[in-house]
Amino acid sequence: MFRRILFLMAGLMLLTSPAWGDAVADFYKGKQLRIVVGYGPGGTTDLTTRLVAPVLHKYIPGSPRIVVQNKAGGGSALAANTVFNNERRDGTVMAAISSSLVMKQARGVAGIRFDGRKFNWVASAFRANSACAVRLDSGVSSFAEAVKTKKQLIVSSFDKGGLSHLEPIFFNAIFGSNFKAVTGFPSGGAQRLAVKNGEVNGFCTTFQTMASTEIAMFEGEGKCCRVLIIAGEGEDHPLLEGVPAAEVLAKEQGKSKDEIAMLRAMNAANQISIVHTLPPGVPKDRVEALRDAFAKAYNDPQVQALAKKQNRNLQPRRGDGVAKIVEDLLNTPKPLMDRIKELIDKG
Amino acid sequence: MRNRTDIGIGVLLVTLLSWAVWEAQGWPARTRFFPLAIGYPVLAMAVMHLAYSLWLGLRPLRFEQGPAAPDPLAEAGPILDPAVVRKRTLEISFWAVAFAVGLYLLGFKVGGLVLPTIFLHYQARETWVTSLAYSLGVYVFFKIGLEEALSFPLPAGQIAYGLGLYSFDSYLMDPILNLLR
Amino acid sequence: MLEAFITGLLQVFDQTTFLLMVVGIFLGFIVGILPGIGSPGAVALMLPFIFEMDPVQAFAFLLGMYAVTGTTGDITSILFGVPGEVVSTATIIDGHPMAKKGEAGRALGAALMSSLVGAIVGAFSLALAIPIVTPLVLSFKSPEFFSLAILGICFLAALSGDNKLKGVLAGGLGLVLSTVGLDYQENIERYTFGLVHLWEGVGLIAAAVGLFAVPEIVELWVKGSAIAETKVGKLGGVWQGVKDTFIHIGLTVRCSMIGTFFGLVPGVSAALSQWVSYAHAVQSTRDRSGFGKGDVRGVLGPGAANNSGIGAAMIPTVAFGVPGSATTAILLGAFIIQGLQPGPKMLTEHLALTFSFVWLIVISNIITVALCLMFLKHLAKITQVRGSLLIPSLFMLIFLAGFANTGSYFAMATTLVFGVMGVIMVNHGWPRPPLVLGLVLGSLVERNLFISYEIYGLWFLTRPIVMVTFGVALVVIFLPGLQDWMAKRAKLQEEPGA
Repeated sequence: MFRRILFLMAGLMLLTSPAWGDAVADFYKGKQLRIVVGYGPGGTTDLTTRLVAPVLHKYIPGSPRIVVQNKAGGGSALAANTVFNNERRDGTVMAAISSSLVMKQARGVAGIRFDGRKFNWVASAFRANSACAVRLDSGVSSFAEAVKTKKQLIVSSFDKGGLSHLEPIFFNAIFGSNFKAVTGFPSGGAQRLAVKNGEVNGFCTTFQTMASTEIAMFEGEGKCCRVLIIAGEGEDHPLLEGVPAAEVLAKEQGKSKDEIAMLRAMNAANQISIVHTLPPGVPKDRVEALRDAFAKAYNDPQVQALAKKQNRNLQPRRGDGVAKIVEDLLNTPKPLMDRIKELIDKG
Repeated sequence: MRNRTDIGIGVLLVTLLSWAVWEAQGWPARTRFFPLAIGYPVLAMAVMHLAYSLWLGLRPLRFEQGPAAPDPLAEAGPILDPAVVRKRTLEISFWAVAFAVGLYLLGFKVGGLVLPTIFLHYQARETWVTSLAYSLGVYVFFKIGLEEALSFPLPAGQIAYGLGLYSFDSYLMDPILNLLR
Repeated sequence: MLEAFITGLLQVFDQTTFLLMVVGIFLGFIVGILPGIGSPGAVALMLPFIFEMDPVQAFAFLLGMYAVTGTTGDITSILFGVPGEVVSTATIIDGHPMAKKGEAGRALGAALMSSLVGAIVGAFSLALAIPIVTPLVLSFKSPEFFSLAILGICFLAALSGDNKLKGVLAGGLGLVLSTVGLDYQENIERYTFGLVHLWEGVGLIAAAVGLFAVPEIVELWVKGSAIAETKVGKLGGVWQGVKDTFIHIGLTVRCSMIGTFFGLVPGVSAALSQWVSYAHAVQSTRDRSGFGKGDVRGVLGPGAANNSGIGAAMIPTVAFGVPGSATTAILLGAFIIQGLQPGPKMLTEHLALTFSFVWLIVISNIITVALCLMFLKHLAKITQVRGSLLIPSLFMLIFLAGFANTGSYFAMATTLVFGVMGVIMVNHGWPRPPLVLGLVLGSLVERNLFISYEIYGLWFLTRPIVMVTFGVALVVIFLPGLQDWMAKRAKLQEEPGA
């Protein structure tokens, strides 16, 4: 009797699960996948997540319902900490956070309660390079001139140790330019307003931002600024004609291996901008399924069309690629990291 | 009586502000500048306020003290017995904490079902029918109105998380909602 | 210019656009009337729906909702004493006592009508100001923001009521609390007890809800009655409130201008303008004794400033990408979703589109006010419901308010802590508005002080706008004393002759 009931139940289970054998599909069927966004609504991390969220279910076996939750705090450290430590580790909760948190972990900043090596990175959305730009009336027309004349160029930055602050001080240390980073600007808009109203001489941010939302600063009648230098190995873009790429320039000038490594560490977070991750301990097949799903979702025609409408050039990277960059950054030799920390503290 | 609490608040403020100023001493110059620039004058004012309330409290009573500055928000309405006021203030304070802790443990959906029921029936002495109907309304608002219609995520509370469950209600509600969809 | 003003208006009356605006208003009303969510929450919830709309339609939908939540925020402030957004906190000070006196209808009528006047005055003053907006906005740099924040702090005294020492002390405490979190210079934790939740400071909404709503809930339970202590009579009627707006039309228009100005200044929190206009309402009145106890002028001022500011705040948002409030920050996200480029072109080439935004806000306000006037009588009746029945819902909503904003249960703790503070402050005659104002202004003062000093040295203090603003600040501090002194002298001069 008992065996018959068991048999019947097994049969019922077979009937109710359409993809018998696909453990991932079985798992996600009828469940919810919650994406915890580390920032408030309307920011880039939120918008990127909401860009893929509507199509994501199509590409995950079992089609779970996708729910986006905003959990703002600590520059997304709160979301990262929570998802790493206090949320379910079965693949129903993931985080959308800022990749610059990894740099914070590498620097040993307090409040980081996760290990980037243990996160199951799923995907990143953009591969950006940071760049610095100055006003046309700043008295400097090229990076070479800025280095030669040692003219002080005040740039507006957000927080100490953040990307808009790292770049100018790294360029000062390695190439001998004379940027002065003033921190405390509360938002990207405020950072650029200070450039537009001539309060500061320039600003550093990703070149992506310069070439999309702030293109009016560089093109057309009302243009006010020019790009001085871009991090990494440069990009192919009309605005970058004659603009040196930091890593290329460093090699040309015969800078040391360490200095090139520093430039790379500075730009690493940009290379995996807007990153989605699962907590440690999620079964491997689910991680792989979500990596595939994000890769497909970023290439979905609907997502591509909307991204184009928003002037944003999606350059997704799969989770394994993200993990490699994170690993490299976290493996930065200690003496080098100490020098980076010292530079940041000196401001 | 009123003066005693005024002195109490004064002592608390002076202590807190002294701690804030003391804590700031160890920070780098630019970090501590603003907290100190604000902290010292505010601390000075708090000391002044404390001294003033001490002086008011310690000076010999020349006349029966008139009522202190009336509460702008509490002056209308019938005058209540202070003992009753204190009892009811304690009651509602307990419930404020109970709701916060309850929502943390149970989440907004299940918490919305359980907490109002208990409050209404046991504290406010409403009938079971009223209490349950009310709480069901709260639950429906959270589940259907916020979670389903607006995709507003309401995670389960800590108890469900600790037991390794998704939430207490989804096992019952989700199949029903899936049928309706 | 005029052409763009009119084209913008005509764009609103496109069929689909208008329909979407009405849908936005409708949804905004439903979501906004729940004090927990407020306008940033409501607009954020709607973001996913606009991905596929065209810009005018998307903004018809969102701005319709934004405008209506501005007004519904006032409604919950008046009825329950629960601020829907930091921006509608000032309305509580006099609006909620009016509701307790049984004048909920009158307060609501006044709030609605002043909102409408504010929105219209705001739109027209914007239209007049467009040619000078770019130079005006660009002339405001960090030192000017700093001086405006200092001016705001000087209003602390005006908001303190009878006990100036307690008021200034409460404001100072707010400033001290504003330093909680990572500092903007060295990124070092201050007073965070190692909690990441506090890195970005004390949650403003959770704090405001705790300070203002929790004492109301306590009082509601202690009294054991409904919110309204007296039956709503004829005098408490909605139309009286509407009439009040026109009796004090000068004040309403002046506060609308204040709202427009603060809306235009980029990055200065919209939360400031409601307090400045409230303080203006207090200061411009001879007999101040009724304020804080239900003076209708205390409702008219912030009501007008809020809604005139909504339109004006779109200008720095669209032209410079610098939002001044939580909601405009989300609208900026909507801008990016729509592929629009915030920039000076929004004030030249795309001026008609910008004006259509302003018009959307005005027309949504008109529709909202018309709708609300029909339902207000019923809404006001909620103040007669047994208190014990309201309390569980109020508890759920005040805790939802903080949670909805950060997605973290930590906000509930903030609400509780500030709730305790609120109860103590109410019971012992400490004014709460200066505390909120200090909390709002602290970061503005600190950030801009350091930026100004780094860039200009101490010379920033000699910039013309800074000096003018400091002059105004001195007037704000000394005017009340001067007025009293003059009144006394006039009395003395009269007496011998009498």
